[in-house]
Parts: sequence; structure tokens; C-alpha cells
Amino acid sequence: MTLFPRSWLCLAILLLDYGAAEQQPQFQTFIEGVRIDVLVSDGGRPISGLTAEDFEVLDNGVPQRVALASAAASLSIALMLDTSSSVADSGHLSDLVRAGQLLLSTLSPDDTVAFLTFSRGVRMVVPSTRDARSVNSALLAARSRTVRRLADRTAMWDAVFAGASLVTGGSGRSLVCVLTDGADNASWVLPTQPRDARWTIDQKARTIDVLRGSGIVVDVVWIRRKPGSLSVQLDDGINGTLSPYDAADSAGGMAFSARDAKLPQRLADRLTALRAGYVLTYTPAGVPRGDGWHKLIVRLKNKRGKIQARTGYFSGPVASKPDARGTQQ
Amino acid sequence: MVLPSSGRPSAPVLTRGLLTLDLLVGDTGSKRDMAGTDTLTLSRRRRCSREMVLWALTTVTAVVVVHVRTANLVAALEQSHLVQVLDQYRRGDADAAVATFALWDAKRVDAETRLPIGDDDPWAIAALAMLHVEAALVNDLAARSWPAAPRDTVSPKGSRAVPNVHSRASIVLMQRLGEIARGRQDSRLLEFYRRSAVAGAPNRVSPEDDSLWNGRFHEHWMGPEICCGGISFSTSTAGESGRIESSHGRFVRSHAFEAEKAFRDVLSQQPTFAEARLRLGRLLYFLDRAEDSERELVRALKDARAANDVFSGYLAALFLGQLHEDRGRTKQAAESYETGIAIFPSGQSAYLSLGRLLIASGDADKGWRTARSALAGQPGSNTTFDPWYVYPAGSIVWEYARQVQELRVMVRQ
Repeated sequence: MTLFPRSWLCLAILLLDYGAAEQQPQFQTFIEGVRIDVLVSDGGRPISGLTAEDFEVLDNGVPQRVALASAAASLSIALMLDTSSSVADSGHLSDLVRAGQLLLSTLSPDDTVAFLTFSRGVRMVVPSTRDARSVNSALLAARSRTVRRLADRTAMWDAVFAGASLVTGGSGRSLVCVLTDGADNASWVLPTQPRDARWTIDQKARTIDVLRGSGIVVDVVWIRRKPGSLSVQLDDGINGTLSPYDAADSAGGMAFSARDAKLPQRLADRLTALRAGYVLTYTPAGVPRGDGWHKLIVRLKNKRGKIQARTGYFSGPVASKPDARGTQQ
Repeated sequence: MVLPSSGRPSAPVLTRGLLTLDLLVGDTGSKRDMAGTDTLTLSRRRRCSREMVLWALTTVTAVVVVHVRTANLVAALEQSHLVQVLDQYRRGDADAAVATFALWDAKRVDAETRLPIGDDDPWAIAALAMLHVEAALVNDLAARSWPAAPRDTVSPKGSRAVPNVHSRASIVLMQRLGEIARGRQDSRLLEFYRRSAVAGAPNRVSPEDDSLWNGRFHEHWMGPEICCGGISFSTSTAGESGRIESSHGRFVRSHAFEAEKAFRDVLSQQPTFAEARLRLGRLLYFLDRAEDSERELVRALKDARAANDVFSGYLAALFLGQLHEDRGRTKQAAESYETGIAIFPSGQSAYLSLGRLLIASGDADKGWRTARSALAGQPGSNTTFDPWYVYPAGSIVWEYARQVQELRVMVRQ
């Protein structure tokens, strides 16, 4: 066989191979791992020493085989201070700043914290750092400089969402801690100026589901305005209020009163509990993928304890998005 | 010491003597003989009256001296404070400087405007004028919108004293700056002066605008009627917790009708008025007329781009994205949000919407990265001024604020 026919043969094989590649659909493999941050407590105290065999996880009702990745030893926190008029005018700002300082005083050296303020928009004051002292200084400075601004409105949920983007994806437990009076009248991602109740629920579900699906905890330290007065009822009705229910609904979040005498202890206990949490991982089996929201149930086998964990996750439409990498929670 | 009963001392001697004598001897004169008593008594009366005059003069002089020195001291302190605030505005955290300056009361602001600032640094004058403008804006809104509050710089019922005094000060400074700029033929300074004059010009006034404002009014009030609100609270081991439940009431159809009529009136006179079409599109969206809404929003986006109207273009893209999202058209929604970002990259809401959409679509990494872009901020300021946050106020307010931001950047360079 001469060289000429060989080269033709090689070319033909190459062309055939190219043609086959053109004709065949491209398959990509997506490894869709799901991560669940779990807090287990009994009587308010975290339970330690559990193994993967102690947990039962149901994905859309189907039991899954889980692995215990590690304990979430460090925390990644976005500390968000409400500097809007409703806080500044009412003299609540000092209480909220004090609560923020208490939180900072309970951090460990491995924890990272970013500091943001919000009113009509959100502003990053200190990017994620391990230097809690610089955040403390910025917190005090924010108190002294807060003043009404042009067209001042409060976009709290926008701020929560932007803050969540800073703490997601880290190795530790992600926490967004909001210091606020709960009034929101300008958020876009979670509109609180409802024109229609059904529409509001739809919009709210989009954002809350994304937060829940990402396993980000939203805790709230808040000053409650005088309940029961007509003005508050009207204001809440028109502007909406972040209730502790909403916070807890995200992923096991909690609400604290900024004027609670036991706040230092409560915050310390809270961070301890978050650090003592478990990280469970599994690859979904026996359930369809890319079909949207999956409901999760996490419980203990043969043990007592209260579980706080995300209530579901998004399984993205990976088949129609070749560039997507699947839901890596 | 005894004064002679005869002979008259010279006036200065008498004065000194009166002061010293009466202080030292008191009623010693009564020991004199009867013949000289009357003369002495008369003399003492004169001395007493002169003494009182002198005391009064001395007291007044002392008060004047102390007052002048104190005033100088206060002026010096205030000047140093003003210099600090001005320097912070030009070179440091401008938002913080405005916040500080906006809290000064009218009297203090008025006093500051009399402090001498030399012509050798015209950009300091420009910066001070801008500082006054921004402080006036902050206080103007407070005066219009809120009653008295603990940290309020305006009196109850919304006094306009503070914004007025800031406005006067800025006008005086800008006049001076104009003279300097013309005298020096400084092109950059003249550009600043020209742009500031444009920013300070009265808002557009035309029949269309009146209708637009009327429509905006009804658009605002077509919102929820509050029928009832139920509030429940409980106490748990985690502290106080509770939930405020409100039920939102009916859609106010009459206002929606009036708003639609007003917007259509505007568009009949000025078909390319993007903001009117934007508001009409938004209104129709809430009236569940999605197809009509989409048509108006697409047109609003086109008109806004043609007119370089950032406010209306950005919001039209944002509203379109939401409409597509509602109808399950994920790809079109993402494209609309990307259009919004392209129109105004310093906004926040378009990044957040796109980020949320990507996360919900399964691309969590890219979604969170996009959401994080919302924190990039604007040049010259750490705060954002997203059009969505001033949608109720309208494009005039947003445009004005944007011009102020640009002028701020100029004086900070």
C-alpha cells in the first residue's frame, strides 16, 4: 500500500469521525450533588457525635443514601444594617448597632464577616474579612452617618439577596444576619407593594425558594415597632414586614429582639449551634432531575432531637442548558 | 485719705479719686464739719453718678470684648469643621460628608456662608456649592415628606428653612464661581458651571407633564386598600417572636381607570414619551392584560433608547423581564434583564433579578456571581441609585439626582 491511499484512508476516517460527531447529539454528564446543612438540637442545646447512619433524608419522598461530609466549623456571615429612615428616625439604630457588636464579639478567628448597609439600595461597607474589629469600626461609623436621603425607601429583601451572594459557596455555614425594624417598601426581588395577593405570593415564592434551595440561613435581629396601632397596621399592609416567620422560612433562620436582655447569650448559643451543625451530601437516586423544586425531609433515626434544615432544592433544567453545571448545592 | 473741701482737682484726678476713695472710705465724708457737708454731699452724688456711668461703660466694654473673642473662637471652630466636611466631600466619603452637613440647622448653615473662601481654589467653591445642593435635597425631601423626628433638622410640620438657606448659599457660590470661570477662561470650570445651571433649571412644564403627574398620582393610589390586619405575637425560648399578618384588600379600579386615561392622554399628544408608555405598560400588567402590557413595554423600551432615556429604558427592560418570567419564558426574561444591565450597569435590581433567574434555572454559581455584581456601586459614590427605587417619584427626580452625582464626580476630581 502506498502512502497516497493511506493518507486518503486517514482523511476518510477523520471525515467520518467528524460527520458522526456532527450527527450524534452531545451528551454531558451532570453530577448533581445535594448539600444539606443540618442543625440538631435537644431542648435548645446542639447534639454532637451523630453519624451519617443517624440521618434519614427523603427527596420528594424517596429515601436517599447520605454521607456526612463534615461539621460546619466556621461561619461565613453577611451582617446587614438597616439605615433607612424608619430606623434612623425612631432612634432604634443604636440598639441595632449594639446587637451587631454583640454578634461580632462572639465570632471565632476562623469566621469571616462582611458588613453591608441598606436603605433604598444596598451598599457593601466592608468586604468579607476575618478582622472583626474593622467591621466593628464600620458599624459605629454607620450609626453616626445615617441620615435621610433623597427619595429614601427600604429595599430589605434586595439587600438580603445581595448579602446572600457574598456568603454562598464557602466551606463553612452561610449566615445572613439582618439588623432591622422589618419595614420594606422598595424591594424588587421580593415585592412588598402588593397590587394583587396572588401575584405577591408568586413573587415571594421565587425569592424565598431560591434562598431555601441554597441552604442560606437568614437570622433577624429586629426592633418591633409598636404593634396594634393603626399606623403600623397600615404601614405593614402597604409596605410589608419581614416577619420572623419569613426569616425562619428561608432555611432554619431565627428572629431575636434587639432589646432582649438575654440577647448576648442567645446570639452566642446561636452561633455555637450553627458551628455544631452537620453537612450531609448525597447524589439523588430514584428521582427525576431537572424538574424544578424537590421537597426535602430530614429526620433522625431512632433518636430524639429537633432538626433545622432546608426544606428543598432546585433541580435545574439541565437538559436544555448544555452550559449549566447542574445544581451544586 | 481726705479730700480737700476747697479747690477742685482736675477731672482725671477726680475720676480716679472718686473711684478709689469711695471704694475705700465709704461714708468717711460724713465726719466732716457741718459747713462743708452740703458741698461734700453734692460732690459725692456727682461722683456716684459718674461712677455708675463708668461701671456701665466698663461692663459693656468687657461684654463686647468677651463676645467678640467668643464669636471668633466659634467661627474658627466652625470653619475648621466646615473645612473638614468639605475636604471629606472632595476627597473622602462624600456620602458621609453630605450626611453630616445635612444635619446642621439653618442658623449654622447661614453663618457658614459668610466665612471667607479665597478665589485661588475655585474647585473648593464648586465643591461647597455642591455640598449645599446635596444637603438641600436631603432636607427638602424631609421637609416635604415627614413630620418632626428626633434627629430632624427641620421644625415640625416640615419647615423649609434648612433647604432654603442651603439653596441661597449655593446660588451665591455658583454666581461667584461663574465670575471666576469667565475671568480665567477655564474650560473645565465653565463646563461644570454650565452643567450645574442645566441641573438647576426648573423641571419641564408642559400639558403632557401635568397629565403624567396626574396619572402617576392615580397609579400610586390604585394600590392596596387595607381591609384588616391581624397581629399575633408569642414568646419562645429564642426570644420574642411573632408574625404580623395583613390581608391586602381590593384593587382600586377607579384609580386604575384614571391612571390609564391620563397616560393615554399624554401619549395622544406625545406618542414617543417613553415614561408615559412605561407606566401604561406597568399598569396594564397589574390589570392582567399581559399582551397589551408587553406591547407597550416593548415600545417604551424602543422609545427610551431612541431618546437616551435611561430611567424609562432600564425599567421597561426590568418590567418586561418580570412579565416574561411570569409567563415561563426564561430565556426572554434573562435577555430582558441583560438589556437592563446594558442600559444602566450601575443599577442593582436587574442584576438581582437575573441572578435569581439563573439560580432557579439550575446555574447557581453564575446566578450568585451575577447577584454579587449588584454590589459594585457607582463611580464617585458607594451608594446605588437604581431607577426602580425612585419609580414612584418619576424620571425627573432620578435624572436630577443622576446629574448631581455626575457633578459630584467633577468636583472630586
